Amino acid sequence: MNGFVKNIRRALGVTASDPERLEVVRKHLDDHARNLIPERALRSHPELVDNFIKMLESVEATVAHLSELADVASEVARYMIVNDLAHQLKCGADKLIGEIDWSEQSDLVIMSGPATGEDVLSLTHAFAGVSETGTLFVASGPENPVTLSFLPETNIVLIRVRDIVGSYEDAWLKLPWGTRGPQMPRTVNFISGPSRTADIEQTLITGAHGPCHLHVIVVG
Amino acid sequence: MKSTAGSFKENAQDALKNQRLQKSLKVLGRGFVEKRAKARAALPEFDELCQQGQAIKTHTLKHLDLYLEVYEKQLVASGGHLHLAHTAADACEQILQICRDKNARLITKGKSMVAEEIGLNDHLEEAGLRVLETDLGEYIIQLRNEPPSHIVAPAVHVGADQVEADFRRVHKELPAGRDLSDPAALVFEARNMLRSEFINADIGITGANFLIAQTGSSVIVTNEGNGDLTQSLAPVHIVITSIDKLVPTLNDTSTLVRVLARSATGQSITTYTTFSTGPRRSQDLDGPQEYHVVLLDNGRTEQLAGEFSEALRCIRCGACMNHCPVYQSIGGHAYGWVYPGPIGAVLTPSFLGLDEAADLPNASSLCGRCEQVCPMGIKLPDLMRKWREKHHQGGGLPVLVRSSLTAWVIVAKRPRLYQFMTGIVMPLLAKLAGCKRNFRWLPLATGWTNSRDLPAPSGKTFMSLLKKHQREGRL
Ligand code: SF4
Repeated sequence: MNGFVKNIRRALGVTASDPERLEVVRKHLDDHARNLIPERALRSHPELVDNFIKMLESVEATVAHLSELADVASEVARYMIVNDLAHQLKCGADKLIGEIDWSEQSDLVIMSGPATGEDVLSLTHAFAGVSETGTLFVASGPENPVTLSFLPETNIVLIRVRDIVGSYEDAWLKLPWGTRGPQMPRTVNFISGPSRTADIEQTLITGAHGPCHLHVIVVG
Repeated sequence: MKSTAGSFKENAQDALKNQRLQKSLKVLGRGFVEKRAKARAALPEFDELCQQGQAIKTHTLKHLDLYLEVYEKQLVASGGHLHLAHTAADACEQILQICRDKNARLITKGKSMVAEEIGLNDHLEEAGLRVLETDLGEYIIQLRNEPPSHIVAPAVHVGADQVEADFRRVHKELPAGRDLSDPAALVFEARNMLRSEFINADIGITGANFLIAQTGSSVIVTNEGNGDLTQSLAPVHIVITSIDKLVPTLNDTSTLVRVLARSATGQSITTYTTFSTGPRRSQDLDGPQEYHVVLLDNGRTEQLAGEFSEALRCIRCGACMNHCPVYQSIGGHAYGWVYPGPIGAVLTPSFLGLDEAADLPNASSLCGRCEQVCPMGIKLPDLMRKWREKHHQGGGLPVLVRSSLTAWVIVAKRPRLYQFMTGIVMPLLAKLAGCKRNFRWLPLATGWTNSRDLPAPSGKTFMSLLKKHQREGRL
C-alpha cells in the first residue's frame, strides 16, 4: 500500500502524520454518524410495516402476513399448491426456521444445506427488513447459505414483524456489533423483489438469473 | 479497450444515419428520463441526499490515503487479499496470475466498467482462458463482439430481433423451431444457458460500486442476480475496482445507495445490493474460498491533484448520458471508448490524452442538463470547457476553425462593422430560406444540415429593430 498511498499524499499535498487529518478520519469512523434519514423511515411501526409490504408488492414480490409462527407451515404448503410446486424445499440451519412445526405437512420434504442447480424452492430468514424501500437483509452463514437466495427459481423469505425497521441504518444495528461497526458475515444481501432485467429494449422482465418468484412471510 | 474516440466525427455521422440505433435511442430517452423524474418526485429528500452524497465523496477523496489504509487493514483482517495496480496492464497481469495459480479455465464475470477500462477480457482470452459475461446485456454484446454503449444498460443499442438472431446463431444445440418472439423467452433462454456455467466456473469476477473502509467490504448494486451467482458459486471471487469507489462507513454507503438507483434506472433501490467481506467463513457451507480485490489507480491519483478532480466523485449512474441531447442522438459507441456521454467527454481525455479524445468535450452545446441531473453535482459543462481551453491553448484546433474564430473576434470587437455585416447577411439568409423559414441545406453548413434543419433568421437584426422602435417612439 505504501507506494500507492505516498502518491496520493503527494497529489493531495499532505503528510502522513498530520494530526488534524488523522483525527477527522478517526472520528468519522468511530462516530458512524447517520446522514439524512428520509421522513418515511421515521414513522410509527405499524406504518413502517404497511409500507414495507406495499413496497415489496410494488416490485412483484408476494407477501403473506401471519400472526403466528405456527401458521408458517400451512402457508408454505398453500403457496406450493397454488403455484404447482413439488413438495420439497431447502433451508439452512436457521434457528427461527428450525422452530417451525411441519408435522401437519407430512408429504413435505425438507432438505438442509446450500443450494444446488436442482433445488426449485428455498426458505431463508431475513434478520431485518427495511420499510423505506421494502428491502430484506439476509446474512450468509450456515443458517442461511447465500446460494439459497439466488439459485432456486422460488425463494420464500421469513421475517419477524419486529425486525422490520425504517431505514438501512436501523437495519445494520441488528447485526452483532463490534467496536467500530457490525461484524460482517461473508455477504449481507439486500433483496427487494424477484430478479429482473430491462436489458432487452428496456422491457422489464422478472426472472433474470436470480429467483423468478419471491414470497415474503411476515410473522407476528 | 481499443479506442476509436479519435474518429468521433465519423462515428457520430454513422450513428446519425443508423436508423436502428436511432429507434433504440428514442426508447432510452423516454424510459430513463421519465423514470428518474418520477423517482425524484417520490422522495422529497432526494436533492438533499444528493448533496450529502457529494459531501461524503469529497470528504473521502480529501482523506483518500487514510481511508485506503483503514480499508486495507479491514480487508486483510477479514481474510481477503489486496492487489494494488498502478496501471491497466498491472491489473490485467495480476488477475491473470491469480487465474494461473488456480489453474482456472472458465471465468464467469459480472458487469464491470473498470474491467472494460483495462481490457480485461481480451487479456484473459489471449492467455487461453474462457471468459463468460453473465449480465444479460453484457452477454448479448459479448456474443456480438461489441463494446457496451451505456454504462448501466450496455446493450441498449441492440433490438430484440437482433438478440433473437444472435441467440439462434450461438445456441445451436437448442431446437431451431423454438419461439423467441417475446423478450421474456430470450431472457429465459439466457438464464438456462448460463446456469451450469455459474456452477462450473473456476473464478468469478465482479466489479464494485463501493468499497467500505469501516468494514473492508465491497458492494455490488444489481438487478439480475448474476453478480451474486458469479461471486458465490465459483471457488475464487476477484473484485476488479478502482480507488475512487471508496466510502468511509456503512451509513455513508446507505446515503449513496438511496441516490444511485433513483438516478440510474428510477428504481427506489435495485433488486440486489450485496456487501461482500472476505471469503467464506470457516462454518459457511458455500461462498468463495478466496476473495481478492484488485485496486486500480490508472491515472486517478494524478487526476486527484488536478483541475478535474471532482469527476472522481462520479458513481457511474448514467444520468448525465440519459439526459444528454448529444448522447440521445448518437448513442454510446460514437464516443469510441469505455465511458460515453458527458462523463465520458470529461474522463476520456484524462485517460487517453487530448490528441485522441479532443473531439469529445467539443461535442456538446454545454446545455447543462447533465449537471442538473448529476447526483454528485459534478460540473460537467465546466470541465468540458476546461478541456476545450486546454485544447485551444495546445494549438489543437484545426486551422479552419482557428482562423474562422479569429476572424469572428475581429468583427465582433467592432460594433459598427458587426452591425453593418449582419445587416447585409440576415435579410439575405431570410430570403434564401423562403417561406419555410428553415434551411434543409446550406453551403459550408452541411455538417449541421445533413441531420437537422437550420432555422433561418427572421431577416432583421436586433439592432435594426431597436432603432426602428426608437424611431417610432415605441420604446
Ligand atoms: S457524472 Fe454524475 S450523472 Fe454522470 S454517471 Fe457520474 S454521477 Fe452519474
